[in-house]
Amino acid sequence: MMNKILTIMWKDVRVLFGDWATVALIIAGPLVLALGLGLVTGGFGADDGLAISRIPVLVVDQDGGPIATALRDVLTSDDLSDLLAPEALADADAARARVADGEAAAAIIIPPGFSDSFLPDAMTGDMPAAVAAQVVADPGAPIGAAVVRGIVEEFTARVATSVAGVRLGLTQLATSGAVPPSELAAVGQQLGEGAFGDTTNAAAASLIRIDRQSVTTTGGDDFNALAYFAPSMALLFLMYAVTLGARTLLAERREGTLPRMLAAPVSAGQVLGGKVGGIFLGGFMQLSALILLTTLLFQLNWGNPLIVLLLVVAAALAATGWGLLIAAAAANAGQVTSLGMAVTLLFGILGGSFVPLENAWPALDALSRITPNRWALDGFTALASGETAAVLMPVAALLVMAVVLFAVAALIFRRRQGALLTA
Amino acid sequence: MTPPILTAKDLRKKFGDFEAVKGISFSVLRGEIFSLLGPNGAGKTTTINMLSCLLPPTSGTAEIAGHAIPGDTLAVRRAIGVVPQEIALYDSLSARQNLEFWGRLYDMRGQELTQRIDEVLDQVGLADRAKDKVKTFSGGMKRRINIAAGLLHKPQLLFMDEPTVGIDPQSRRRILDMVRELRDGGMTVLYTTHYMEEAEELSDRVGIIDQGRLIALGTQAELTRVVGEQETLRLHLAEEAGVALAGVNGTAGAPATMSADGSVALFSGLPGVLRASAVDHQIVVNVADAGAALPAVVGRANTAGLHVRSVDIEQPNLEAVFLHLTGRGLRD
Amino acid sequence: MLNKLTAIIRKDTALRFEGRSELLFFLILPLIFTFLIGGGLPAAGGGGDNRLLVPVADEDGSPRSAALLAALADGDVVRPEAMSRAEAEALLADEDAAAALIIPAGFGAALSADGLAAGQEAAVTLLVSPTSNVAPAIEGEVNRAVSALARPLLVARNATEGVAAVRPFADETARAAFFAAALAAAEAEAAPPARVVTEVAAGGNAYDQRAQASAGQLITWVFIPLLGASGLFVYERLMGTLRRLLTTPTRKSTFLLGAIGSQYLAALAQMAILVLFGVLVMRVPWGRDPVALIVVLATFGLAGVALGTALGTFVKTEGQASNLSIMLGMAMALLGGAWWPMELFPAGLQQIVRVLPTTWAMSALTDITMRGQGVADILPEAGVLLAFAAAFFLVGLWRFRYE
Repeated sequence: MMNKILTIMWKDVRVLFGDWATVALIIAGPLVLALGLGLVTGGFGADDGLAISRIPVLVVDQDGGPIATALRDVLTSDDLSDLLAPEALADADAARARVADGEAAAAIIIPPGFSDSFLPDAMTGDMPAAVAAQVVADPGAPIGAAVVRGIVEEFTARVATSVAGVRLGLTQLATSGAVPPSELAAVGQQLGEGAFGDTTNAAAASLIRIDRQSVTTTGGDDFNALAYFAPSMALLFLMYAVTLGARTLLAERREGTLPRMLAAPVSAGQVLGGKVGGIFLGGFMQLSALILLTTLLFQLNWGNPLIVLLLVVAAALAATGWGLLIAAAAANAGQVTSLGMAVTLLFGILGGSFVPLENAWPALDALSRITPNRWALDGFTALASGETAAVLMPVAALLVMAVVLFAVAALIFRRRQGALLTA
Repeated sequence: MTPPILTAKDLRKKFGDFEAVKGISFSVLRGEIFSLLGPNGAGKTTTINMLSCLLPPTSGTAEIAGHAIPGDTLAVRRAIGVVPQEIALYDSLSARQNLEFWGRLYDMRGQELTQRIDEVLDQVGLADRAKDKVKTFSGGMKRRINIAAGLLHKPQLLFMDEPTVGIDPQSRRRILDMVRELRDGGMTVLYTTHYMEEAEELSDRVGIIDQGRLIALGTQAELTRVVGEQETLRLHLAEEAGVALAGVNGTAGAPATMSADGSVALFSGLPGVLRASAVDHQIVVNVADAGAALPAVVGRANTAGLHVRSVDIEQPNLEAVFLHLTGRGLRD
Repeated sequence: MLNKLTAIIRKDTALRFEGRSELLFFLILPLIFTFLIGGGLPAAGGGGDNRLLVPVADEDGSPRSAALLAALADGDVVRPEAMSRAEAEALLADEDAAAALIIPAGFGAALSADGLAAGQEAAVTLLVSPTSNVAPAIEGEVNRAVSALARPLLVARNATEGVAAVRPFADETARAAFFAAALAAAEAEAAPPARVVTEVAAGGNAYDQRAQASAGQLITWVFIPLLGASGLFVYERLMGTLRRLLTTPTRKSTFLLGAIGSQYLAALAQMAILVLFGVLVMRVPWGRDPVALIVVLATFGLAGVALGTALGTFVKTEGQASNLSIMLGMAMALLGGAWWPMELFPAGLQQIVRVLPTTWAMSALTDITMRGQGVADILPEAGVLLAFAAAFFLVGLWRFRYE
């Protein structure tokens, strides 16, 4: 009896993996996508740095004063050479046009009077009206433009703070009478020289340090973008693989092979068991193959193998449940394919496979919990960071999901088509 | 005499090294049903495809309703209607949607088209199923809609390529009746088939085609005259005898040998036996006088171990003509 | 001719939407994806707060840390929310936040006069998720808030140290008194004038996730069915209708034009709906230069339908066509910058993806929705898209067979 179920299971798995196009899609597809997404969003094994290319920035210095020169020095300094790719330009309009064309993330235009506007009037001590540097941003490169703007703002703030310090010190000295008015100019000169000695030294100018720490949801120091995208893509395609399996339920009925199986000395339960088992086994093998391949090819550490296996079984069961539900709801095999693809993509985006939806509203987070993708991904990330106990919850959730979906699918099958197998 | 609507002159078609049609010439007269009869692979469909402008002839020409092939293909296509051998319909559209589409491709539109669709639906007896998708139809119904799509624009000449393949006897009956009605309504029909009975029942004239050549052409009476006063003995063998027949032929040096083309040498030398050929579980024997030859033929078959269940004596027919000309039977 | 064209277009449309499931990919999924990726509804009339959530664990609880929180909240990029460190870390771990700020105990003390004098260092910790592409923006905002908070302190310290260098203080008390007076004066000063102004190139809008989502998803979901059109050719071949078409008095060019035209019209309709959705629901400024928009969408549609036609001559089954169209469509859209700004790509990749039509389409749509460009500026992209269309059509025509 088990033998017949296994025969049917194996037949389905062989059909699934026998078509090279399908294998390419469900095995190579997630591998390539995980690699691609990893490349795009963070590189591999890189430290915490954002793996973007050097930001192209245009610099137009119409001022030529000392502070403008200092700003240009900062932009071309070694500290920033990994971040920026500055290019000096004479014509502001040309720079604007090139940013508008998307050729540079931003242009910094330093207008005439920029340097002078930082210094108080020599006679009155009043500050002249500020002449602001212009950062022309390309909205198509929001991050690069923001980084450039941040650098310029930090620089001008530092200079302004130094000047303000000198002014304040001088004012205090004058009002307290510690320095006679006749000497004020000379003292001011001295103060200024002291303050501007190190405008390019960032550390001297900051009071509050910001420790930036990369927190990996996958744990460990060597965060690997692949460690996030490999399971998320594998789960995306797991959903697709099970819908391919579920499709055969309806296709076999149409093609008459299902009734023919029933004409053989096999019970309906065995046939159904074999078919459902086949869907499960197909998904299980696809997920396992991907885990094995990424382990071998990219040295990805998935965690304790036994618990990984448990999680894979749970995830494949829950996905099979969804596959059955889709098959139960669909009218024909073609609908299973398109519904399945739609559900695959929807679960993918809800489960965070495409873009992180971290900024979306809370309802979305709740919604994502109906997807096996979300739970299994939680499980895999916990496992990879060695939090074995944290896997219990996802596994339990996936199993409950599977049981509920199996029951609902069975109910719909029974109600909608009477006996599934005798159509 | 009625003028021809179609004249083919030495049509040839080569596919690579294989010559499917080896120079065919014939005319189809206005208002007749002209059948091209021949076994599968004889070149019937290739001929039809050349005449319906699907395939350019390798050499040779044809003229249909005054338009030349090769040359004025658009005008030719306007004059003809084609019922292809496969069911060429959009199965997820309704019967009416399909007919509307094909009608428009023949430059029909509006009221005229709607009216004409109603007419052909009546004609093929599917008016009540017009709104149903073609994929819900039975094989016979699909065949009928397939024909209807070729009739919409009232073509002067209708090509029907094996329109009865693979359907039940009732549907076939219905289609054959329809073809005759079309002819009676003034349409010219070029009909291809490998069923001898269809050609006999329908045709005003028949062209027999084999291995890319037209080997006989004429009315049924003219053709059967070729075999003269010959008669045909049809020996029905038991199922296992069919196997035995093949076995006999497979044995080296056995007296009865069936050549690759199906001719049977078992009866050669018997008085009055002209030719014999095996088709499935039957052996067809051309004889000068059925009554005289019968005992010897049956005796020889029994000696060879072939269990003869029954024998038919047939008057001269197209099958006999084919056998006479090719030494082989027409196969189903 | 026109009669035949409309017949072919009507037939194709009926075939395509016969199963209803086509609507899923034509309309439903595109709208859902645009909505989700765009971050939902815009904050219209004080409805919701669309700023990025940044959990802040204030373990210091001093007026200084409160001031930092206030400075952070005083921007239009992030929405700080005070909570415990564990809660903050949990949000981060669940990818519900891209970054979390920890203000450790002792922060305020280090910034007091005594702390400064003693050279204590104030520090905050910013935990960022490495997979997030909004983390840099949050980092910039934290930088801004921190400088705002530190400014008076820095000014007072600079003044004190500067003065000490030229006129040394008599003792620590004098120094402290000077610092206190300087700090009071610095804090009383009006906020410094802006020394950097940002303008968006060509008067466009600032980067907008909604515009990115609306444009990017349009490209993705218009492209997929256009590639899927290859399946229709397969269907016609399998059904034998392609051969039958040749026996009717219909030119090959009429048939191709009709088949392609129906796909094209459907794509235009789909684009119109997605643009309307973008304008009405997502409030994306699609309509700034309608002519430019029409030129880009029209040429993009042509490139897509041409690629679908070329593809149709290669695929053998409808299943292949549907799988291939989704995979290829997704991949090309992804690599074309439809899902993330292209600047996130490695430099080499940015050059390589220029061979994709989606890259050019996305660049042109970004020009229109964000960069505020007009017809003249998108002509190069439109030209490249037309060239793609011509090339793919040529491949399709060259390979096209009726069986």
